Amino acid sequence: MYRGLFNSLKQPLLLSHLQENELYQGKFDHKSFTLSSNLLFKIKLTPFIDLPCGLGISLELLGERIVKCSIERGFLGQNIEKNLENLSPKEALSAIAKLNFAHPYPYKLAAILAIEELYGITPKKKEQIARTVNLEIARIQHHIIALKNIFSYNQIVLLLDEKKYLENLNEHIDYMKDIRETFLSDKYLKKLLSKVAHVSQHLAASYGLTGLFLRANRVKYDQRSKNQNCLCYPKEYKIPLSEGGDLWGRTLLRIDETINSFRIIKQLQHEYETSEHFNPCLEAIPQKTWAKGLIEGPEGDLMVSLFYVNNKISWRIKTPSYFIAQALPHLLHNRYITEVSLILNNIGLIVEEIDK
Amino acid sequence: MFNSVSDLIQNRLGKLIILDHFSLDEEVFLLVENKYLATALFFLKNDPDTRLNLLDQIVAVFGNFLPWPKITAKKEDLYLLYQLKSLRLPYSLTAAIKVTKDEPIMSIKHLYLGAQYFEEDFAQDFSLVFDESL
Repeated sequence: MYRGLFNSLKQPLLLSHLQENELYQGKFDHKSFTLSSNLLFKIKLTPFIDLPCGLGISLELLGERIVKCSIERGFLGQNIEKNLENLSPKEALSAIAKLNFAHPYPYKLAAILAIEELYGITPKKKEQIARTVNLEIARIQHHIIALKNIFSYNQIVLLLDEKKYLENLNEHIDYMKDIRETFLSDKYLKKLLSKVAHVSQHLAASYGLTGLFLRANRVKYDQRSKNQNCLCYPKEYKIPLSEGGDLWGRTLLRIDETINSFRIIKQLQHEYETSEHFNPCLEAIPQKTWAKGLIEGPEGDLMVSLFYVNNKISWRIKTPSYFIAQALPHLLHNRYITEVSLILNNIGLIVEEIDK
Repeated sequence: MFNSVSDLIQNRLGKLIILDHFSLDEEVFLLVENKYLATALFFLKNDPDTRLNLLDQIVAVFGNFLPWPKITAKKEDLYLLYQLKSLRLPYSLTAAIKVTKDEPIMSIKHLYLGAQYFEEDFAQDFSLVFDESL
């Protein structure tokens, strides 16, 4: 759709090779460049035009390259954090699912951990195991949806029923290893994804990006490697890492993390009985004024902070997409308009997390 | 290490910057003078002994929920908590400032790029003014 739109409006650029290099490296202010100023188109992509997520993106183009990008948010206006203040902890757990209707479990788990810390509740070993397995299942589902956008549907089968993740784990691991080998040997994919949406370690930290963005720069930052009393990860947890900081590195990391998640489920499979339940003691008074539940979500740190002030619990939720959306102008800068869909589909952006 | 971060800042930058401090579990809390917020955060981000270059989150909370040793906080006081983490060193730190609607707050977007949305939301929700020129 986009290629057809711009071919009809495309005009030849009267630029020398040196001027073009300077323009794209940002050393030259394009607005003052008189030859190309009339070729600068402002294209507004509203939330409902063939984009994978409901986000407003405003682009300024020079030919087919994106020169400037700005994000428009606030279309949803859910006010989740404010609404949670008026709910009891149990009601809040179902309300927090609005952050991601498809995979709400990581958000619920972060909220449960925060509530347990606030009220001084210690989970049992069975609950810890069940939570770990369920979190890894949610991670696998999230990564497979992102990988499905790169590989054809015949290559990746989306398992919708979470009970299937507990059966034939060796076959799932071997299947993902085959996918990994296919991905590594595919030169076309390497050419398509390398140096696309590159984020360095320092830029990721400045933007507040965690998860894949840091680990794709070989930074050993993973909440699963820290001793958490509420979850049951292996003590010597090996963090999957990749390098490059680009889309290729992050996609490889998704495959590795999916294999890792299946291995963790395989280790805990025999002790996993049923899904855990959460019954907080509603009459108890919170034992702390500040508690937080921090987990390693599929796209980065997922944290729920609770502040008990004036007999009221205030909720503050840290979500990865809140930071990814701020980095989106950087990710799309100097890319082709045809790459927008590829980049958006593979950064795990969830719009409900931005307008919380 | 945790008990000396405040001393580290005061020895390197001066005694007017940190108004109060305490440690809780594995976190350090500093109450910073408003006009020295950018100075303190620049130091915390770039000094090799701190290297708090990861912006965790910025939280706006009312009330006296933090046990500051020297200063008595009131229920109607609004605090901004800048939660920072280090990628290399195993600790985190919260720099807090007390804010009012009338007093402009120093913007830290130039230090931590991920602070932009937080400042926009606080400006909308609490009618705070963030000034980049301070």
